[in-house]
Amino acid sequence: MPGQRARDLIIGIGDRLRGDDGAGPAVVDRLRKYPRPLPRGVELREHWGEGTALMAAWEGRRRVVVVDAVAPAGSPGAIHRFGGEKMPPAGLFHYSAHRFGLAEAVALARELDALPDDLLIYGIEGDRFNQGARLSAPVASATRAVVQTIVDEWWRRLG
Amino acid sequence: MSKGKGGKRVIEVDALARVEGEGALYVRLKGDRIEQLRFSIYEPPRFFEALLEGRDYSDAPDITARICGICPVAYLLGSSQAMESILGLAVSPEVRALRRLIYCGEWIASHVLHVFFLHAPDFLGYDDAIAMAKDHPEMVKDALRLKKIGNALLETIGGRAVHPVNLKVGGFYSVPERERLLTLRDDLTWGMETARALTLRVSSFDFPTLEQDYCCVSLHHPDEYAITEGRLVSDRGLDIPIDAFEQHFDETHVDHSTALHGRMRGREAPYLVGPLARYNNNREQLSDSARALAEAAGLGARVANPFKSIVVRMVEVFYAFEEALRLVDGWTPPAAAAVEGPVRAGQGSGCTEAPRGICYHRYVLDREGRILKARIVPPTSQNQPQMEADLRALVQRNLALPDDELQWLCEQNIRNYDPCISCATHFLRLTVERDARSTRA
Repeated sequence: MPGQRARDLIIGIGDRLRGDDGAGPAVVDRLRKYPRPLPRGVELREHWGEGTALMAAWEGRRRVVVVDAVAPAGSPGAIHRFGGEKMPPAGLFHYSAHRFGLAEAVALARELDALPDDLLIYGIEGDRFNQGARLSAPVASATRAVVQTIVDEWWRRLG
Repeated sequence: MSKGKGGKRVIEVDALARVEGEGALYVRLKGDRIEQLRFSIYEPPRFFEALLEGRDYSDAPDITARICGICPVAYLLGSSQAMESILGLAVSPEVRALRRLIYCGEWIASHVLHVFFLHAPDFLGYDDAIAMAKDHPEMVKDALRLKKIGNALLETIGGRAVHPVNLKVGGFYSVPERERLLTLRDDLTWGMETARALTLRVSSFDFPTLEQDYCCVSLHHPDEYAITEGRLVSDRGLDIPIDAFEQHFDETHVDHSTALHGRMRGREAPYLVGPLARYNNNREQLSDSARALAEAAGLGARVANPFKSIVVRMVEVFYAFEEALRLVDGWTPPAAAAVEGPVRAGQGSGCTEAPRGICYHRYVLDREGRILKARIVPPTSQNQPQMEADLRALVQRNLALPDDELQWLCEQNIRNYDPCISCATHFLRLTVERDARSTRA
């Protein structure tokens, strides 16, 4: 609820039951278990990627970090970083749960002047998205790399 | 993309935006005749049914809720009711009211998302909601707030909006205080009035012409617009208890789709579930104000144009807000948040009105309460044959349109059904082939 919510938010988008779509939740799990505690004022949240709910989640926040799986493009585990003026093209995250997804939420929020002050997005390129599959090895490895980057860069800036 | 191919015109689009999931529409025209029309959704194989087998009965609500991020309550309640019927549990009136209230939240969130962020751009001529927001920012902001209030209901009662965790077989893990629910009152009142205004706005859209002779199937309850319970009825005289569903309906495999297609036994033509079917069967059970709004929005006693489903969805949004207010005002916490009883073997079914239509569950339990068999029939698979029939009628009467306009119309029609994702999928491809003698070749 507004007023009670943390200033900063880290969101892992995806479906744990659909193979590499679980990359975002895996990052949330790793951050939860990370030896250094979360800075004060930072919330960790798993999300399924529906765009309007994302907009509601980051409403009024100062800094938001989003991690989501990206459709296969030949380099499983590749990490794409978006922020500032460079935002993801529509459809990039189409393995997210909803066709009105992350890229659309960013574009709509920009149109309505409802973006958080600071938004950083990590897209992890997936390999397999079939139901019941586990994270593929390159994607699991990429989730570790993203966690380390978030800790290195954001633990200082967040909170 | 359009390319020549041996005298035929082939149109392929990479993805049909704003439809959940993965599917394809293929149309082949010969002269002015539709030679073939196939609409397919690649449904995940019966992953969840298999996942449930061998697990404890009490796991079913949480697992099935993961089938759909948009309509988790439909799965939570359908599976809970089935288990309650096996165990012989009767929930208290307060639990029943709270279930209806959280379901109102789901209808609001799901319908508003579909109407304004996926479907309205079709009617107003925009590629997507982002382009629409440039010209109609206030409408989009209002829609965002309506959706948020729906989610607030889900969070307040369910613990969270996606995959609510507070519902269980027999009721809830905990119930909200009366004061907590009353804090939602102002938002619900605002939502009801805004939904009324937006219903009238949506009713002023231009609707393509198409009238279909639907066989409407829905729940029906004599005292209320059916959401969480009732008998299964059709406007052709069907009137059965939920546990007779499989005697009257089944699902068949078709070659062009991995999703099962719903079928009414003994009937060649398809049947319809969802907002239009509900409205046509249960208009009398709407509140006076919702019925008056429907009338002001130009809906008669029966709606046969699938493109007007967007207006019916908005009437249901208005009704859900009004109903939520009534339930919040009348809420008193029950003595117990859930009813419990000993485990026993048996078979039972449950069915509720998911935003997209009836969602049926059946389970078989052994003596220890382990699930031996699970069967789930989501609304989207039931509507697939009717979607094909609509598309066939629509293409036939619009053959003269250029390919791009025909494609737009087909996409718009597919979205009339708000076809669902996890009971469906990812990308939709559309292919139109016309041979040399067709109207446009």
